[in-house]
Order: sequence, then structure tokens, then C-alpha cells
Amino acid sequence: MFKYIIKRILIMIPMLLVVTFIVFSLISMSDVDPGRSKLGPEASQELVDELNHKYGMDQPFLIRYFKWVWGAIRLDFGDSWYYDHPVSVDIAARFPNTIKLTLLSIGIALIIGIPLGVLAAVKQYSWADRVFTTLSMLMAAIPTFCIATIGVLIFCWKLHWVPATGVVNGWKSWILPSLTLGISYSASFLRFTRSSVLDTIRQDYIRTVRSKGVRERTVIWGHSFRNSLLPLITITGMMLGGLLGGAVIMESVFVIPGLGTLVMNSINQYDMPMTMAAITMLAAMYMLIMLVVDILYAVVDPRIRARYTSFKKKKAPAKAEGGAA
Amino acid sequence: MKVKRRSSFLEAWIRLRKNKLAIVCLAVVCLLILIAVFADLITPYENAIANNSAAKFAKPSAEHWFGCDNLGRDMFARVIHGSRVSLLLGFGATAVATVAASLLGSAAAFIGGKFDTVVMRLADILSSIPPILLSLAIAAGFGRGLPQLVISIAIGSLPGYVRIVRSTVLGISGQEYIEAARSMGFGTGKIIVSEILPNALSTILVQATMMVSANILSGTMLSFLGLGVPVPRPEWGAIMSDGLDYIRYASHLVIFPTIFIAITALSINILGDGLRDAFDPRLKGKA
Repeated sequence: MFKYIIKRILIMIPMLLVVTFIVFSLISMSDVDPGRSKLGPEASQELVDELNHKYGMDQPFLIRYFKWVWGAIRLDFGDSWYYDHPVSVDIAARFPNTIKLTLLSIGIALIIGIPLGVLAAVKQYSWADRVFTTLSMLMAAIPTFCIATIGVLIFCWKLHWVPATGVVNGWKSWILPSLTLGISYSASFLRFTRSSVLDTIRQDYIRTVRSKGVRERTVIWGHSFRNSLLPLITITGMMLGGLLGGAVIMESVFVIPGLGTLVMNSINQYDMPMTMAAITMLAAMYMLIMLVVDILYAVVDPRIRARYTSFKKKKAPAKAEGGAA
Repeated sequence: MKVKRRSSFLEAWIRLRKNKLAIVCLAVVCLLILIAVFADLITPYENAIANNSAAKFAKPSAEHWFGCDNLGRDMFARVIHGSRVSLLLGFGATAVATVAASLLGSAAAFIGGKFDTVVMRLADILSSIPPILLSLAIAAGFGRGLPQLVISIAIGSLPGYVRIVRSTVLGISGQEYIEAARSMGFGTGKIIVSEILPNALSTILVQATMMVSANILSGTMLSFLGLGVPVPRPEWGAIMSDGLDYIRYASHLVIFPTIFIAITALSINILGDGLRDAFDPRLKGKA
């Protein structure tokens, strides 16, 4: 297992290289002249050229990319082209906000979605089931930014319960953004939990457990739910990308200084070092959480755990996607 | 082969017809498509973009069914014409993603080995960039416009799609009829196109249906972030996010586009559920 984790962390390096290369080349394809766009149309051509030389824009694309990689390896992401200070300052200030928002939202989504999903499955076709499934379908049909704005309208402007924007009000300012994002994603968790619990609840072993006279609660949570955890973990991992994207929306609705809005602004300002650093951090964060998801697999499913422990004896019997598929 | 394939789709259609809700949703989706196609006949495009300072924030009335926005543009015309871009984004991006995912996913599963590893790793890598940020980067590189939007939404939805097609095809390629086709001397390309894809079609169709609504919603999010189609062309997400600025005193600017988005996404999703049940009756009532 330990060896597997090390291997997965090592795989992240080439993956990050490809991610950064894709983003670097996409942004480089733009025909914006960074020196000109910073100094404005009135600046003399010499000054623009000088600045472009400072940015390394007079060098070929591949050289610029490798220079960036060389800096990134030493954790030196360079100076922002827009603000003229090291990008690490902004990244360090904004990264915790994005992490907080993402983890809070995913926690809320799981806490709401899973119990309601199990309830809907156990009481299939009851009124509770109908209400929850209908509500979850409705939530999935309305864009999150609209739900968020309506939330601001009701809870901030009408009721004055929570602040509408920013992060300066301590824990209170996190309530609305994380609840909005969490609730809108809990809809999908509810649907997946429901269908995967329904899948297991009709299996023979559940009937066997029931016929042994085990308490209904143990049947549901200890046997049925435990077996439907695996697809649920997969879904959690797969939804993370979307959730990080949703965090971008929440950051811009609630004016939270996070990585998502940083990427947005710096792409619009053609701030290459800032964009690259922020996207690299986001991608690395996503990959790390995916790794945790894969480790959770092994914790939940003894069959997979067995495969990883036999890893040392046999030569590579189970690859990463062998467990995920 | 041909007879059997037709009958399985026919059977699914017969089962789908019994699902009243799904049929209603199918009708709604068709109606929306018709609205988008014949938008010009319903109300001229001029109304959707012409400013009219006298009618600023007009409430819904007989003259302006959905009222007017902050520039006095007729909301009914904007929503009707907005359906064109929104549906085009939804269906167009899905079409692009479906073709790419079917080919890549089935080739990865069927050829296997190195090719499979490369494709799946690329999918992993793509999915590690949040789709919205990927679209941002694409917009930065290629500029803003409808084709770029379609491509960027399609790329964002590709990784998950490829995984689903791959796992479906992995199940199919172990079947005897694939072995039979191979023993008849069919090449890999021919087997994928004429044997594997038709048999994976029901999964792909269900997945594609669900994806249309997801892509429409992605389109609205991109518009909200200011990455949508250039103004003044109406698009549901753009109409909505413009309206959100005035929600406190002109809620009709938000309500009507939201209703249209919600009805579209909801009926497409219910139709997708119905299709899945129809293709695989064992799953009925589960999702």
C-alpha cells in the first residue's frame, strides 16, 4: 500500500507537466502582446520591447515553457506581470480559501445527500422518496449562480442573517457559499446513493442477513450501505472537478478571494506566471484528493486492499485504474 | 444482425411509450427545438436586440409578454432567440463530445495495451483541470465565439464520457460475436464501427441525453463568468446573469429565463431516465 501511494505521487509529476504544458500552450496561442497590454497603446515600442524581453517573450515558446518548469521545480513561480510582486504571495493568500470552500461544500453535500439518498431508497415510492427525488432533479436543473444569488437575496438582504460577500466576517461568511454549493451538489449525491443502495438492497446476501434476524438498521447501514459505498466514492472523486468549477462560480458570486477567481482575472489580464501557478495548484490539489479517494477504496473494499498488499509479490497485478474501473 | 438491432430499438421505443412522463418530456424537448428553429417566425430578431429606453424594466404586459430588460429590450424575444444559442451549445457540444468519446473510448477498450493507457491517462489529466478553467484557457487562446464555446464545453465533458464508453465497450468486446467478427477477418476499425458501436449505442444515447442538459448548464455558467457568446446576442445564461443585477426590483428579468432553463434541463433529464429504463428494464425505478 505504501509503495502504491509513493508510485501514485510520482505519477503526478508527469501528469502535472502535461497539464501545465496544455495550459501554457493554450494561453500562448493568444495574440495579445503582454508588454503592450501592460504599458498601454501610448508607450514607445522600445519600452514595450524591453518589457517583453524582461518577460522572456522574445524567446521561442518551448524555451519559455522549460524556463517556467525549471522555476516551478524550485518552487519559484516568478513575479506577476500585472502586480509586479511574486505570485506566491497571492497563491498563499488565496489557496486556503479555495480549499476551505471546496472541503466544506463537499462535506455538506455528503452529509445531506447520503442519508436522504439511503432514506429514499429504503422507502422507495413513498412520499419522502418522491419529494427528495423531485427536489434533487429540480436543483440539478437550475444553474448554481442563480440559486446562490437568490440565496443572497433572501438570507442577506431580506433576513440579514449572514453577510453577502467576502471572507472578513469569520465563519459566518462561509455559511452561504458552502451551503449553496453543498446543497446543489447534494442533489447528485442523493440520486447516486439512492440508485446504488437500491442496487444492493435486492441482493441475496441482504435477504440472508435479514433472515438471520439482524436489526433493520444494521441491515441498511452495516450491509447494504457498506456495499454501495464503492460506487459512491468513485462518484465523489469524479464530481470533484465539477465542484472545483462550482467553487469558481461561488467565489465570483460571493466575492471570495480564491484560486478560481485568480485564474479568471489573471487570464483576462494576460498574467502568465499567475495563471500558470494558480492552475498548477488547482490541478495538484485535484490529483491529491483523487489519490485520497483511491486510498479510501482500499479502506472500504477488502478485495482491493488484498490486491495492493499482494503488490510486492507479483509484478504490478493491479494498476491504479484497475481499482477505479 | 440488422433485424435484431432494429427490434431492440423498437422494443425500447414501445417501453418508452408506456412511460407517460418521459413522453411528455420528449414532446417538451421537441417543442423547444422547434421554438429555436423557428424563432424568427415567432418574433423577429430585431426585438431581441433593439434598445427602447421608453420600455426600460417594463413589467410583463400584453405588449411585452415577459416584460423588458434594463435596456428596454423585449424579454420574450430575448428568451425565444436565446434558446437558439443555448440549445445549440447543449446539443452541439454533446454531438462533438459523443463522436470523440465513442471513437476514443471504444478504441481504447478494444485495442487496449499502450493506447488504452495513454488515452486513460490523458483523460485523467484533462479531468484534473476544472472544466470551467479549461474553457477559460481555450477562450484565452482561441478567442471568444460560438464554435470555441462548443469545443471547450465538449472538451470539458470528454474525460468522464470516455471512461463510460470504455467500460461499456470492455464488457462488449468479450462477447462471442466480436470473436466471430474477428474470425471472419474483419479489421479493428471495421469491428469498432460495425459491431461494437451499434451495441454500445444504447448506453451512449442515454449518456448523451443526460449530457445535453449538463452542457446547457455549463454554457450558462460560462456566460455568467463573462465567457459566453459576444453581446448583444441573447443566450439564456447571459440573459439570466444580466437580470440578476436587477433581481431586487425587476425579478421578471430572472424568472423567465430560469423557467426556460429549468424546464429544458428537467425534461431532458427525465427523458434520459426514461430512455435508460426503456433500454434496460431491469434498472427501472432505480435512478
